[in-house]
Amino acid sequence: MKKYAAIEKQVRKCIQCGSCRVECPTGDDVGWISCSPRAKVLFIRDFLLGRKPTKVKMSEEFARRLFQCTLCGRCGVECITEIDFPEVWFEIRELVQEEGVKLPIVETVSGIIKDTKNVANQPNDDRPNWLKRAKLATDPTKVEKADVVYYVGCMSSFYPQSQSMARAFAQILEASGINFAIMGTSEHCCGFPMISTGKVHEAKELMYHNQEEIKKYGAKTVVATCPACTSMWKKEYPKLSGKPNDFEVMHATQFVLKLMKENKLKLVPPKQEMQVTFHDGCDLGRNGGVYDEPREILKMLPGVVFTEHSESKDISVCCGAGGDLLMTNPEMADRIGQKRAKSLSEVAPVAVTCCPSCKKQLKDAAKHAEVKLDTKDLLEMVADMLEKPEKPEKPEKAEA
Amino acid sequence: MKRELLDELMGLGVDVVSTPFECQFYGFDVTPLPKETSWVFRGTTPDAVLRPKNTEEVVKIMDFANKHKIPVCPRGGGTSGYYQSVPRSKGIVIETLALNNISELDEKEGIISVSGGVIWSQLDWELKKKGWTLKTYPTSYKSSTVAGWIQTEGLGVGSLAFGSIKKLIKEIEVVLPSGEVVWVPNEGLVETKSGNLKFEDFIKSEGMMGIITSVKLEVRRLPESTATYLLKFKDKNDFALVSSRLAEVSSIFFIEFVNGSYMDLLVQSGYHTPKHSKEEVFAVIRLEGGKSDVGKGEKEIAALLAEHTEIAQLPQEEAEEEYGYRLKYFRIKNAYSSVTPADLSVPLSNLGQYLDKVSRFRFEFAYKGEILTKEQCGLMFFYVLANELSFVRFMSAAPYQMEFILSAMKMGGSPNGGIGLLNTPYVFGLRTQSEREAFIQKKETFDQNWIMNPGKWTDPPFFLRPSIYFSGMKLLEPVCWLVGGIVGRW
Ligand SMILES: Cc1cc2nc3c(=O)[nH]c(=O)nc-3n(C[C@H](O)[C@H](O)[C@H](O)COP(=O)(O)OP(=O)(O)OC[C@H]3O[C@@H](n4cnc5c(N)ncnc54)[C@H](O)[C@@H]3O)c2cc1C
Ligand code: SF4
Ligand code: SF4
Repeated sequence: MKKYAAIEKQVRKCIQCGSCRVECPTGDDVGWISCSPRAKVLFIRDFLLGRKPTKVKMSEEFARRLFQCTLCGRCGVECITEIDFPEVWFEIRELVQEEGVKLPIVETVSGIIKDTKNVANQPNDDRPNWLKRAKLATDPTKVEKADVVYYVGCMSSFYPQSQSMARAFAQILEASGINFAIMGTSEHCCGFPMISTGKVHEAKELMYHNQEEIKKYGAKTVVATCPACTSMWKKEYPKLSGKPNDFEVMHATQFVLKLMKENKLKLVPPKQEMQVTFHDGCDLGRNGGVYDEPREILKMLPGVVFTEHSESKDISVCCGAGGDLLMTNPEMADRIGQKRAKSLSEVAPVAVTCCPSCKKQLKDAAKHAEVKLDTKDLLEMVADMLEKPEKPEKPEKAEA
Repeated sequence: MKRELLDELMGLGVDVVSTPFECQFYGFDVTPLPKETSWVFRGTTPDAVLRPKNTEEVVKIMDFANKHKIPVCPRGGGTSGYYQSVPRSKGIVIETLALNNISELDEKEGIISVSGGVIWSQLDWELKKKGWTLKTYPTSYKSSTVAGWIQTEGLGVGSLAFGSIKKLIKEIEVVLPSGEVVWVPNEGLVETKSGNLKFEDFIKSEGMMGIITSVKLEVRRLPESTATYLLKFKDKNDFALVSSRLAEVSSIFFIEFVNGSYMDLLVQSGYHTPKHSKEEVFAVIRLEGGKSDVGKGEKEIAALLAEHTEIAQLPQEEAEEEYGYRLKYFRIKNAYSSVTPADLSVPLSNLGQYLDKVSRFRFEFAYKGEILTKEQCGLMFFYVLANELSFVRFMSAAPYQMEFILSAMKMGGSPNGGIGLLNTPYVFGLRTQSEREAFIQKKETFDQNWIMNPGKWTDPPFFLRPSIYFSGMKLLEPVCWLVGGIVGRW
């Protein structure tokens, strides 16, 4: 089928060796080969090209298996013919949509985003509520022109476990004296959950809105704390709109490292030494290529002892929250999260992450698995160490 | 399978699936066949797939299968390429991947006990945590199982140093077709209810003699020292000339070589390669072992290079990079998605002569070789003609594949990868007549209902019988020339 030529080219490379199966978190959880990348690729190949006497029909059974995937990209590392995973999974999800197979849960999730403009099913006007506790000198939603726009994203805007991350980053930006803005109520979901459900048209609508809104700030840099939002702005928006960005897109860790190297942040060591390990989230690490910056920051932080986990960087294990799995298959996501939390807790009592979804997921999973693991966001660690402005001394009582 | 039987199967308490959607994926291995062949290979989709977690569950399945005379096809990673782990008459597939226990390592003896379904890469990962590693493994390391490799008695990475997997096994636990469980040591006979059995009865038996549930395997401490080389030879003759000497170097662990045409495919696939011509041959050489042994090996290679100044040594980083790619040689599929291999072995002493002979074939071809033991060399000839989407192209590649294999057999070689179903025509080159007869007799004794993996080389379909197959291939040869000429590449 011409329409799906790009997918066809990729799946035809598959030799059915199964090297992608063992490390796939969802494939491992389910066990049956139908949930492995190997079988999903075979199904699509037969659907597109035919290897059976009767034509393979797109089915709900297949779609259900397809969505049992965190889009973590580990299969891309393992694949011996180097198939372009996870990109192909996005394209196959789109194909499933176009072939008219609708999974109720997928429709619900995308319906929520379409209606509310966020994944949390909250009024979008509540988006900047997290700012109330950020204690900033200037309200960044009121800033009209700025060099830097902080795109907050749904997770950090609405979910209490991740809001602290947004506050931390805003405090860091303020402490470094940067002129920055936040889109506030005009910010809409970046569209990542839409493209990951195969709804590209809907993702584009969100993109057009965000692109239009961001224009007015005249920003040179757009920074996001969420790796999925970063990836949307950096890679997907130019691809979907066919136009390059006229600003630089960075993940917050990259931006903070720059500030630290420029000596723009004054940090005070914590009272107690902290033993930590690092969890590479899939969207920032394997799929975003950002491995070094968080580690450089960790090594620069006073009072922090960092131990590398044996499954890190490109072989880091997914926390289970990606690819909408948390919404489509919450129990499976939790089992995957518990495994990762246990494994991280064997290395250090604190796991540092740079992703709001990973942070929330690992915190919940550690609780469910009853393991002693605290999950901290790297930006929060930096913000906690910011030198507090000295309180103005109380004026001495005037001599009588 | 009838509904009542399926219900009984479901009631065994073993993880099972039986929907057509789930079962369809167990009807394939790594070999793509055109849809036109499906009328020949009917019955490849099982009625049910079971994933036992321990020996007791395997026994339950075997009892059930025996009682109802239902065929059982064992499947590990499903990475073999001749339909060894694909059923021929529906029935049950036992997928062994949930037999994945890794027990304590006996550091004194250097032996680890594992379940049969353990994947090589997972075992190696666990060993490495303790400072140990595998002695040998197949390049399907990330997906094939310990028992699956025993069943095909393969050779792979490290076998140049440590020999075949057969030598490294101390004992295996097997569930016989009757459901009886026995431990079979590497040497000597074991008594069973149906008679005596020995280790050799299971090696290479391709799932036809029982299910291997546990294995005691020799492993080694992580090597103290390693050295990696990438050498460039003017042509195949130059490489063949020193290949036996390279295989004898102290602490030699792995030797792989490719020709310039293979390098061309890498370039077309978007990879960086050293500068090359089509005739040149590149070899990756890996030494592993104690410091002094590796040092000795390094000196031997230095002496060889001093003697043969025509051999060029490429930079260390490139050598490490190529060695790192040893599991990913199929990445050339980025250039041609129809790339398929003809997989065979020749005696190392005949390597030069063999490569000379096949280079007279009409089309340019890419190859990758691996020196598997001090006497044996594996070769894979990659061809793009066999596009499974076109029956004509697929069939027209077959006579060539036949030529490659028969030429190897004439020089004392054989096809690689076992027999299964698809290599049945070459069975006479892999087992002598008396070996074949003895095996069939053993099977009749121990598998009276003929339930274990039936329909393979022991009772193949009509036109996979050697005489029929080879006559058909002869007729196809002109088509092969014609289509190959049009496609322009073998
Ligand atoms: C990319 C790639 C690289 C490869 N490299 C090599 C290599 O270097 N060397 C090599 O020799 N081969 C190689 N092979 C071939 C194949 O991987 C090996 O033969 C492998 O050992 C098969 O293991 P498996 O677990 O996949 O077994 P399967 O393919 O599932 O089964 C193989 C046979 O064993 C039987 N079987 C499986 N498990 C059991 C059990 N527990 N008890 C009884 N019978 C069982 C099956 O019925 C079948 O007959 C390669 C294949 C691929 C795709
Ligand atoms: S992206 Fe991750 S979860 Fe999805 S198939 Fe690949 S390895 Fe499995
Ligand atoms: S690793 Fe790649 S080539 Fe192998 S089965 Fe998986 S997708 Fe196919």
